[in-house]
Amino acid sequence: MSKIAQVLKITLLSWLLVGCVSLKNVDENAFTNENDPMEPVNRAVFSFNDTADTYLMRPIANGYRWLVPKFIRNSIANIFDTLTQPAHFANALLQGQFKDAGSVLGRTGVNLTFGFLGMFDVASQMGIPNPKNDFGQTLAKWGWQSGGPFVMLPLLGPSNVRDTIGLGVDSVADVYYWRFKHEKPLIYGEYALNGIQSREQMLDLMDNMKSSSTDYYAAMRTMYQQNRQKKINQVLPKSQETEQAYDFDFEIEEE
Amino acid sequence: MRKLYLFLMLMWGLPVMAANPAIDFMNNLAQEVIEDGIQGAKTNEERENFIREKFTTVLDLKSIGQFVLGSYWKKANPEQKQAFLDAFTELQTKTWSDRFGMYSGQEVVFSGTRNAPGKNQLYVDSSIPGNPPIEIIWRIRPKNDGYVIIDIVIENVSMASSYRSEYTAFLQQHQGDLKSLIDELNNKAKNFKYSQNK
Repeated sequence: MSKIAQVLKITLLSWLLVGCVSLKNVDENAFTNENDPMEPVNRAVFSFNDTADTYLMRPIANGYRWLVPKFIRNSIANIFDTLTQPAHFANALLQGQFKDAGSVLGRTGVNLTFGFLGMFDVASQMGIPNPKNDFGQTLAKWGWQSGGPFVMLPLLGPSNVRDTIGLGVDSVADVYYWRFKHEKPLIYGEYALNGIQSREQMLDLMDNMKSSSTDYYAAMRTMYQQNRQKKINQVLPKSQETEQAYDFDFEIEEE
Repeated sequence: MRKLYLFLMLMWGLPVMAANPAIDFMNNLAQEVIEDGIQGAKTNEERENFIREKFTTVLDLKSIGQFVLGSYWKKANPEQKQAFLDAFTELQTKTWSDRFGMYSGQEVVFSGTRNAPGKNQLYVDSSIPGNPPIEIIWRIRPKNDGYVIIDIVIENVSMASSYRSEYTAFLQQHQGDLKSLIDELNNKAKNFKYSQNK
């Protein structure tokens, strides 16, 4: 089964499952402000994710941090970053962001050679940007700027309809997948290690967010939406950029 | 020759005369926070004390409280407003004390100011160099002889907007009961767990 189909199948199944138990007594108008019409379902998925994270991913990520020295963790993260660069390069071209495409090409060349096959991020030390263009941005550049409703993906976290499709397409451009697609242990091993190392990088920030949030789901949702707006605006012409989320009237009462 | 000398002196002096007081304010504050609040504080408690004191002087807490509670602020009585601000400040003190603990001492570079919506409000643009650099925008407004901060925007994420969204969601789930929110903020502050910062 292709990776896109896997992502979509897991998402649809989980929505159906949690949707059956969650869509009761729903005031539909309550969820329109945050572009989250499926909030009850999304919250149920989030609750599942949080439980899986608390009892599985976070302890494993903590163990990984404890067991593996920082310089090795950095090298592993750099290798995963290098593996995603072909997808970033293709997206930069599809978006007409030729400067970004040049940066991706430059940094991949530098890191594969001087960085010993991507183990060391020499390119960043040389000041070559790492723009990370994705297919969600490409779809926005092609006209789908709103992105559709907010979606909480099982195990993968916050997204929207456009970016979920983007995620599926980007995962197909994973060069490791195409090299080893018939060797399942290697493929699942890559997924697992990538998940663990990504979670380890987020340990402190997510712990801080969880400790300080009165509504962890709402905090995650708004941070994703605001930050994503920046990534989308980066590939749009100035005339098409959406108004910045932070540029609101503060409604200060004069003393 | 003397005229040329005077002209050069004037040109040399121009950047000083054109110094931006908003950037000066932020530069001084950033330096103080890095030196006294991050490098100078040896324990979480010392850092908390520093931040608590700074929050009450450099943040416009009343305006922030009013914004993050939205319509619920208007319905609250003065005692509830004060109780909310106290609980909010205490949780923010711990949250930011923890976040400052993650900061590894990089320089904050202030690049300029621009107008923000609202009377006399300014955005001060800054970044922490890196790949990619982290963009931080400070929203400030004049107060007394200086400035106060009303919002901090990190990588396009407005803290004020985020708290408003979060607290509105909480209040919607608790029938608009502000006391529940105040209790939850106090509870979160009391049981706050510092991250490992490694």
